[in-house]
Amino acid sequence: MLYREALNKALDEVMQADDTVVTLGEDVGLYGGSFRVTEGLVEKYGEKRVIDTPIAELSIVGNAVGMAIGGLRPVAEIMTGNFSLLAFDQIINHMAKLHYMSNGKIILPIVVRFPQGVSRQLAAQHSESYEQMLCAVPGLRVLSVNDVNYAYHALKYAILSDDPVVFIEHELLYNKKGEVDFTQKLNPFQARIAKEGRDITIVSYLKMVDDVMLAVPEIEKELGCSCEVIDLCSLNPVDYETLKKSIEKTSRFVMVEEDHKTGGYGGQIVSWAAEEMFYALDAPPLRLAGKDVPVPYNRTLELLSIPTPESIARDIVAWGKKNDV
Amino acid sequence: MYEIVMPQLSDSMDEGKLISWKVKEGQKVDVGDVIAEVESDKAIMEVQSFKSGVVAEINAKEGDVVPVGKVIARIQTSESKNEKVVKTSETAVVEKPVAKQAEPIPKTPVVKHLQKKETGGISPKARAKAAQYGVDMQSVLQKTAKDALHVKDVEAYLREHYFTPKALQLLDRYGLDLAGFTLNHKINEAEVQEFIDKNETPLPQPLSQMQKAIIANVTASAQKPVYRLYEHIDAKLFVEHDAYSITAWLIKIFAKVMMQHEAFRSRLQNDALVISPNASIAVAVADKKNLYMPVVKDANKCSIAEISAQLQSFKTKLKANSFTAADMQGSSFGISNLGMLGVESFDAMINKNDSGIAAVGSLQDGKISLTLSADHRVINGYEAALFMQDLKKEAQNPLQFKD
Repeated sequence: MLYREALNKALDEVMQADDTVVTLGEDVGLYGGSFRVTEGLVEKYGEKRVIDTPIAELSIVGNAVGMAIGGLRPVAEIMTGNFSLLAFDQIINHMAKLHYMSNGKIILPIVVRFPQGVSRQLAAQHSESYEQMLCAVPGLRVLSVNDVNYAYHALKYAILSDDPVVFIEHELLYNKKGEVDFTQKLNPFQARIAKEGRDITIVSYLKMVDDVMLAVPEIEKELGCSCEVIDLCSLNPVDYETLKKSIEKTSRFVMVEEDHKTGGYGGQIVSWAAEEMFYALDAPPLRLAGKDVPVPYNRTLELLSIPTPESIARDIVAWGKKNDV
Repeated sequence: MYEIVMPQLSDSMDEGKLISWKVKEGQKVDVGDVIAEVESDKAIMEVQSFKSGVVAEINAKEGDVVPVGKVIARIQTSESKNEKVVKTSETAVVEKPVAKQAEPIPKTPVVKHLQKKETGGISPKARAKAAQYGVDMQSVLQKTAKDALHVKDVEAYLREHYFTPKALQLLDRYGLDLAGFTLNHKINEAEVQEFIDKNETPLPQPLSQMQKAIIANVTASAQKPVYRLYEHIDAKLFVEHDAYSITAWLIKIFAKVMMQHEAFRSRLQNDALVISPNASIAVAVADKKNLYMPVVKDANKCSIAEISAQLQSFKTKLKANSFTAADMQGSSFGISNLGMLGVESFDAMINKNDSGIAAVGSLQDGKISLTLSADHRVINGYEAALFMQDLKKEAQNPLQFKD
């Protein structure tokens, strides 16, 4: 099953089971979704539950907040991360806070879904990542999806949960293949150990997990060591328990993210490691992230501006040699 | 009594070298007299006395390296002998006056790692481990060319510092952890041996090439899709002609029947079946340590006497450990006999390149049990059942086996 099919199936099953679930966004209906996640749903559930909206992100999320207050479970799709900026007032000032400010009387079971990150030459205004800002807003759950099985289970959980959830996908993952275990009881807030290892813990999320996995054979060959790869899955809250166990075992830690390094989300994880895991570390943490430039349109420069399997392998090997791994 | 200690002459100084004494025991000193010259990591300085009295004792020799704060001399002050001990303060140290620079200062090698030392360069985990054992890693850092130390280096230090080379050899042979020992003295081989005896630590045996090969073979064998047929065959023939072993007779009979069933002479190689024109049979030959599957080649052309002689030669080769790779090649089927050890029935793993194996049990009421394990990719069940029928028929017809 493909990543986008897993999301489609999750949405379909929940809409089938609960008629308060609605989905809204640009082209989610007749066109079947910009990335085909909502394909076939308008035929099944009609235009009242699969709602094509104008190009106005603030109103998409604003409407979702209103629907939630009125008792629905809206799933709002924003076409890409950069466009979510237009909806940030609703996401941050309303969706994240009304539950607290109404003394818990209002619940906002909203999911805001969007893909983000560097795809292929979509240039600076369509290639950014905003998890760092969203995770800094108390009251929001932020999930990031790398794994197909996780996509299915986590989206179902997010829609049925009473908390407001920002559900982050990645444009290059929509056609990723994977197996879904439909019988599984998956906890979406638990990090996933993508590969077990003994000597280095590599933490990542979204598409970078796949790039790390591609880099691992080279790293292991060059350093003669074994790498543990962790997919964070949930960016807020973070499953620090899994990270702690892994770092206690390996005593070395690398954080890999696609976003610009300055102010990037990985800084939070590294800062946690410095505060909580100091005496378990046998080497300084390494942070690999995108360059501090607006993502270039030129393909060569675009690839130079973010971590790639080659650069991840090269940088971790250099760091490993320097630190006697 | 007034104590003079090794002064701290710079932030980074944790020990100093005593260059020379300017006084002797029993000598009188006045306030401001130079007592000694001390070398820090940056310069040579003079140590002066703040009190007058008589040098009662000198506790360090010239050339000694003394930790900061340690007493290097005691002065019996002229005041009452019962007064409390007073320590020098660090301000007792003054730079050498310029006038004195006419005296040649002995050139001493300056440590080149100052930069490194100031940044520390010891990982938090290594620090924690060093603290646990009371190891001063800063001084280790001074002696190494490395920019930074890790847990590995602390372990190396502990090994070198607290164990004799022979003790280390023993430690490594038994795969013991340092944590099991109290590290406050040099541990020798005898002490490690005592630890091993007391804890009855097992000695890990590295695998021989032979064992590695067997492990690889049986692991590969376990990948095969195997099914089994269980049968008993009449053993009258074997009892009557006991000049030859049961295994020898079985090879003779199997070879004959294999000639009628080509699947049993087949081997899977890549995407093709290789069918041998003759029947070659691998026989499990083992002692407590080793296991070999030498091959009776073209057994269909051998007399029972020849087969028996070959089996005898296998036994000799097993004892002498003189099997060659050529002895192990060419089979498509195997036989393993544990009957002579009283095993009633069992099933065997198929040898690496074979398509099946027969496991032979002990003689019971004139019959022996035979378990046929077959690789379903090469031999299907129907074929195997026909093979068994023919085998039973042949076994009951002893006459044709007279050589």
